[in-house]
Amino acid sequence: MLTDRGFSKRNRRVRSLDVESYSDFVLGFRNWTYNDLDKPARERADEIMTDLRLNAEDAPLDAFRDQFHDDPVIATRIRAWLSSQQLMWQNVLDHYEQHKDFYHADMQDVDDKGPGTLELNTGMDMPDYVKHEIHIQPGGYTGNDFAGPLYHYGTNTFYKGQNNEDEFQFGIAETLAKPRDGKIERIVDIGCGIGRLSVALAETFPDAEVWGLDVGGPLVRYAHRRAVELGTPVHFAQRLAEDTKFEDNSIDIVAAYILFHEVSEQGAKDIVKEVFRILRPGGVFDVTDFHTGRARSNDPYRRFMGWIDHVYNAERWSHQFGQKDFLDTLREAGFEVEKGENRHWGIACYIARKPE
Amino acid sequence: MSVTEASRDTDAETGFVSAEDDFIFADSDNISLFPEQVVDNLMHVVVALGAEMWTMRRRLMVTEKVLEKVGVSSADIEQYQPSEEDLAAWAEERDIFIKRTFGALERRGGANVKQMDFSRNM
Repeated sequence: MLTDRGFSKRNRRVRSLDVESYSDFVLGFRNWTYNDLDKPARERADEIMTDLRLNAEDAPLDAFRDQFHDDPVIATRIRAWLSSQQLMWQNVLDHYEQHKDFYHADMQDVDDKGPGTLELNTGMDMPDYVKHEIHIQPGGYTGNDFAGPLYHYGTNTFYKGQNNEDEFQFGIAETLAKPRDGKIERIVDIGCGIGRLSVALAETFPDAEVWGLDVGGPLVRYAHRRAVELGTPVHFAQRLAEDTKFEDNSIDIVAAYILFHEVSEQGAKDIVKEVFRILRPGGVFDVTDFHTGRARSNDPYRRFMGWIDHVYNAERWSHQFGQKDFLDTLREAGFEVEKGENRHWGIACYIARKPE
Repeated sequence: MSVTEASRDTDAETGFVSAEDDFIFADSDNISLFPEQVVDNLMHVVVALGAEMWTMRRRLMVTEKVLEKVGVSSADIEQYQPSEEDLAAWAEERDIFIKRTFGALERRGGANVKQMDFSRNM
């Protein structure tokens, strides 16, 4: 059934009560999985370490990984997460596939509308690091027409319902690092996804020209559709963050939200180099992402679940990202760097200024 | 206000369903956490059933709210006195539901497959 169900504060409600309710179940089930169901699994992990007489501080993952993986209590915990995540995607995807003619027409209708613009480059070469199903999202960010709404309605469950109205993105926009001279005429949001931060930036800095770039065409297409609906002027473009097409020294602020942990080390270096090129002297690069450069956790269960995240949740690069201090990556490109105040959920803020 | 020239000659409907040859699919349907895949499959079904059940319960809650607006309160629903015919029909439905959902718990294994020719080399 396809019904116009109007809007919440900022978002079009998915056009099916049942799809919304199914997502609501996944949100609750996921919370239960990560909390209550996690406890017996963690206890089993501790028992296995004791049985194996392993010291958590120096035992390699290989020494206990198979035992953890084969334990039925731990397997139940992982299975619960995996099934809920698969069902989360499938619930939304089934709806969009079932009504694909409507949704294709709906997107096409808005492609040419403003405010703002949409630039699609569907034939462009994709970097290798993006050619996979991140978070097991069917088709990833580039291989499914409906990657945009899938990401939007799907990841709202990741956010535990706390970001339904872009609260986290507005939090970033309001605390965004600014050039010391105060001049903010052009802002670029790289790896913008469905443009939640881009629109928050455009609404927070109404006098600035705001761009949102992402490699995923379906993502920026949905981002544009949403921005048009919100009446927020943003220029969305399907472009690489390492090849933004902007002129040298032409941008005042570049922002990146949870981009770099999804990018290979070389990709990250290329992107940082490109950002340094396009920022004007005194311009600022504001990065929100996971903490990096920390010593490896001594918690075997946490290490094992990190491995599960890498292997089963298609988080290909996050482990690599976490190993090297991202401030060093920024510094090596020529930036003056500092750590900002942590953002929502304690996520890190990296601030990089291009020398005057 | 325009889509760029680069995409004008591209069929948007099919353009995005173009995962490249070297695209890596997660193949998450075939992840096995238990020694037997059927256990994974069963647990997945149980989670999916939970989702379906909650979806229905949430729809019922919405329905009750909508009914309230037209003068049918939750109390009306709680206080509804079913007829004898209602009760008989619902009991039948209930027992079918219970058997269908929980009947598998009665199974003891050891299938009688004597009628099958085990020596047959198929």
